[in-house]
Amino acid sequence: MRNRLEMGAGMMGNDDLDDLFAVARADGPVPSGDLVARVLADAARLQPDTLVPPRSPVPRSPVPRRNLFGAIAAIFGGGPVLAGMGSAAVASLMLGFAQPAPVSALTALMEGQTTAAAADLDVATGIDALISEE
Amino acid sequence: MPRDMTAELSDDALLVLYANGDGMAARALTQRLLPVVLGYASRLLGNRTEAEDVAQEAMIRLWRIAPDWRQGEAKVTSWLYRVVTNLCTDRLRAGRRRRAEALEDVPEPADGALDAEGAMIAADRMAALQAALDSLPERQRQAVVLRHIEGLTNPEIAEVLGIGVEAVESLTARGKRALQALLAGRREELGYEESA
Repeated sequence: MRNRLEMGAGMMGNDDLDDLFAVARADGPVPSGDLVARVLADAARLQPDTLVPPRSPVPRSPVPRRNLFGAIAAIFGGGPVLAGMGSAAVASLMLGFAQPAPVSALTALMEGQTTAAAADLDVATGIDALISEE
Repeated sequence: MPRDMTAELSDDALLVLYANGDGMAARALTQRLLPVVLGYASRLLGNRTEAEDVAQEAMIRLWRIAPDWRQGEAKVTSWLYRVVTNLCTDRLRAGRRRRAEALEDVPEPADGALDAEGAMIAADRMAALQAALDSLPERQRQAVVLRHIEGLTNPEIAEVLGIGVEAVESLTARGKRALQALLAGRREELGYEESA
């Protein structure tokens, strides 16, 4: 009931005013279709484009065919590594066949076969010439 | 995102989704917030056309701030009310107010349950209320509309208007008294019968 103490003749009471407010709350304006369309168009125009767009189908590259050499190279870490190992093996073979004098002397010394071989051993070839020049 | 899932999300969450490029978020936010923004602007401006312009501008500002929005720091609706308040203040100060159009533009009750006489009375009441609101000082009108039509609490209104809670209480009390005085003598005309 309205607040009669506040009402004179024809005066709006608190309850009357509250009734007016209630009607106003219930009868809020409904956005027109045109306004909604404008707002959604703004939203689309201003929306950050941060979603990852769907990827276009890219043809997958064919799986490379592996031959025997490729399979072996893959086991040892690839072609370049295998090439290095091959070079080292060839160098070792050459050293074994050629038997250079310093290597033979060093081998003999390590095996304790002779002291003369140790006396002839020159591990720093040419160092005497450099010392004598000074 | 499926449309029915957006109804369960907060305004904050929808705004973040919009900023991340979600297509449904903008539609959900518009459906939820545009009536609020439009209603408040209509009450402050008293002009439907200008209120629509303000509502559109307020929503544009919402879209623009979305990437920088920090969840949990402020309510989206409070932020929007503040934007609308400022936009309406600018418009009113620029002298673009057209009160005559306002009275014509007060929306008709959409509910078909009211009979013709009831609808006329309701429309008359809304026109009278709008005319009285238009007569209030700007700050009083903002406080009264936010409190009694938009249903905000006094602390929320204080945040929107950037004033203290006591100032809000004073504004709403003075605003209500002014409305009662402005509508004095129209009770019978507006269908409020005298009590015996």
